[in-house]
Amino acid sequence: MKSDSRRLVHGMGRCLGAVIVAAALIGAALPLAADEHEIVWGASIPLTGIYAQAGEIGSLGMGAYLGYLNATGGINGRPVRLVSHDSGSLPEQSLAVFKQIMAEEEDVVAFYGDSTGFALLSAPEVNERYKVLMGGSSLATVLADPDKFPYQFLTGPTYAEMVGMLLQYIAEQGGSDGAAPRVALFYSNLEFGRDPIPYARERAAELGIEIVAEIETEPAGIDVAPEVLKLRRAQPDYVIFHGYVATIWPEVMVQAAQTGVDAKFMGTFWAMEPLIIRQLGPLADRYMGVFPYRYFWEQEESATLRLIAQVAQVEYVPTYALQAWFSGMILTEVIKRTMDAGLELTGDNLKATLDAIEDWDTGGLIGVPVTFRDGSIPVGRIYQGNSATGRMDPVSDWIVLDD
Amino acid sequence: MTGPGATDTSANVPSRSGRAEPRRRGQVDAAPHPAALHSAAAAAGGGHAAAARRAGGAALAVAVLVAVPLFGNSYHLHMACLFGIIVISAMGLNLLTGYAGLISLGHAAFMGVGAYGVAWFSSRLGLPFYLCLPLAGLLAAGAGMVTGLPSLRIKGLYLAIATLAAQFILGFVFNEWESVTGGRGGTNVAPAQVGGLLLSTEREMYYPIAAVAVASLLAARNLFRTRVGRAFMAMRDRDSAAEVLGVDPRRYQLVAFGVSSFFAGIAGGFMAYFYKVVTPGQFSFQLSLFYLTAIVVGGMGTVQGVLLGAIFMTATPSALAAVAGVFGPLAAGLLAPLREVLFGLLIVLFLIFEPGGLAGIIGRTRKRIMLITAAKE
Repeated sequence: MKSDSRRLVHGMGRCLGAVIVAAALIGAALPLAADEHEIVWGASIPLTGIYAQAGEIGSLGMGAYLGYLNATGGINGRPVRLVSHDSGSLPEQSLAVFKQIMAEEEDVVAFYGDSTGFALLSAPEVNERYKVLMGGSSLATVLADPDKFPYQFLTGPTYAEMVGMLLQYIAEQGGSDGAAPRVALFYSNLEFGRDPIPYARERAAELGIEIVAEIETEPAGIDVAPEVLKLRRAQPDYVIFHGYVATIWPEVMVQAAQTGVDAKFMGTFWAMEPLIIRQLGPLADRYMGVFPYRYFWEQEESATLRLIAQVAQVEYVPTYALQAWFSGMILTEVIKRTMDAGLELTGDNLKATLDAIEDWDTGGLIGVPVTFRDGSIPVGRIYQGNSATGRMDPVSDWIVLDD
Repeated sequence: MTGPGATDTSANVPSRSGRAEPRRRGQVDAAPHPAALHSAAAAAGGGHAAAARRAGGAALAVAVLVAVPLFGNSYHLHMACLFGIIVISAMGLNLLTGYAGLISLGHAAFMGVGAYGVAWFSSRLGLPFYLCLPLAGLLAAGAGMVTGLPSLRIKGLYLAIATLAAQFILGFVFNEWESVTGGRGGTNVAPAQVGGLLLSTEREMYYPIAAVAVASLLAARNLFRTRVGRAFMAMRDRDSAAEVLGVDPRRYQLVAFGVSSFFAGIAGGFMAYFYKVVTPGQFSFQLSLFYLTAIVVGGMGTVQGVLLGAIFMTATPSALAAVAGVFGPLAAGLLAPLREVLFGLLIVLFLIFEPGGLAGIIGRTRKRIMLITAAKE
């Protein structure tokens, strides 16, 4: 099963790689005005280390987007060049990459970081010295704080906001036999895993949801049997997983089903790649989660996804690549609006422009118009696994958190 | 003393090949330690010419160190500062493992103690940079000596496990003692300041780090001309024989842990000032392995080995990335995993074919050149 998944991901990677080469060739064939200088984006990408798979796919997604962007005139006629290096999935190395790019390139307009660790480590220098617009793959709650991270934006809701959406959905569904819904929180002991837990407790209390178990584990390599016994004792209606890099939850779900735990299992952004449906088999029908974008197969409802399909010419584009593509869209939109306003492309101007974005149409990639709030996009939708089709099907409307 | 891991003259000790070899009572090392070879070579090369060469080399090194900020950009200086921090910390570990023969798998945790010490002393007590740093070193030294207590009864693999426990216990403290460490999100550190001079950027931090790194190397080099240093080496080569000669192994084992951790604490303190934020993730077990690898690859028991190990560990990944980058960004991406394999392979090859590390290779090469030169004369 594992090798199948890897093959699938690598297959997708190869297809996207071919797309990048093609897009680059198209870009070369349509040269832009030579007198207008390029716009430089920097990025630290985890091509090795524990996040390598996500980094590789994200890198291909970003490459595909830039190939398309430059082939269609760049931003107001100016081409965009991405300068990136491998971060090794290490925050210190990622910071070194940031420093290298900032030192070697003139006028880097925006930087795409690879992790929460990098964002934390780079913040003191970004805030005081470099003052550059910072994006990234991290959706950590702590980053949606303009006082501490004034130049940071997120490409979706924070982990706390995601769990908030899940709880809102659970509250709407109600518990078994009309009782208050019973929820178990199952999370890793990483900062990543603990991120949404305080908010989850608070929000659950507000919504009248009973937290019947909180299970904190190592992020990988654990014996799940004792944890499953805790679930069996607690008998939750829903189990929310969060904070794992390695996929331990399929094993939890299998053992839980065997021991008579009749619950639905839910995940957040990084647990929503449909590969999990293949791993789970029939149990996938009990797997749900929150995701901020439409999936690649929802092209009928999204012009952006149709464009991606046209550019990529592949059967499927993974969620990590969609996130990278969307990051490119955000940067393009912000830079274009700033240029149109006649402002310099400084970090302060760009972040002010981003903060002012309201009701932005993402071409249906996100089903409602987007408004940034404290740098994040508090929007998502609940999806449910479908073992028959191997897809995630939407089971809720788009949820927009108000506060 | 009985039981597994008890201190015993027949205990397994790490050999120069890196493998644990059973040591029999009365066995005498057939070959001298690389450090002894180094000293002997230095003595053999005495005389005015050698002294002049050494003075010239030192002057050149100082000139290069002073000139780096004049020519390097902020990235070069960032890497230079990191290199200096690695040198300070690796020197500490080399004192413990290379010279005193005690293995530590918790070196990163002692760096963490130093880093959090700086954060605490500067933000809570408002102490200046030049006080925070030595205090952080002393705090780490204290933690190191407590960790070294088991070394009074156990050694070899058992001691390694005890230090590993210290790594995880201290890691737990960094994560959980939120009121002091800031928990998993870490804590911020205000930039260092000396008088009215702010040491915020890598350019401003470079000279203090370089100065302390050089001082660390010189201090370590001179330590082995002192009673303490010779006691370390005597203890490493055979603790029972050292005891007969009047060296108290228990005392010097604790001193070795204290001195080593002091270096680690200073390095950790610099890390805190350098990054301006301290998080538990910075002082993981992987960092301890990084330092152990650096001194093994560089050459244990030599000052030169520390420098070479630090260069290898910082420059090789970048060099491999640069080579991959020659073939274009796409190829660099595809070759990235191969770089990791190659880096690991290089380390394994060193362990197999050159147990003396890079310092061993350079030492042998230098001898051959001297022999060839002598033969020609």
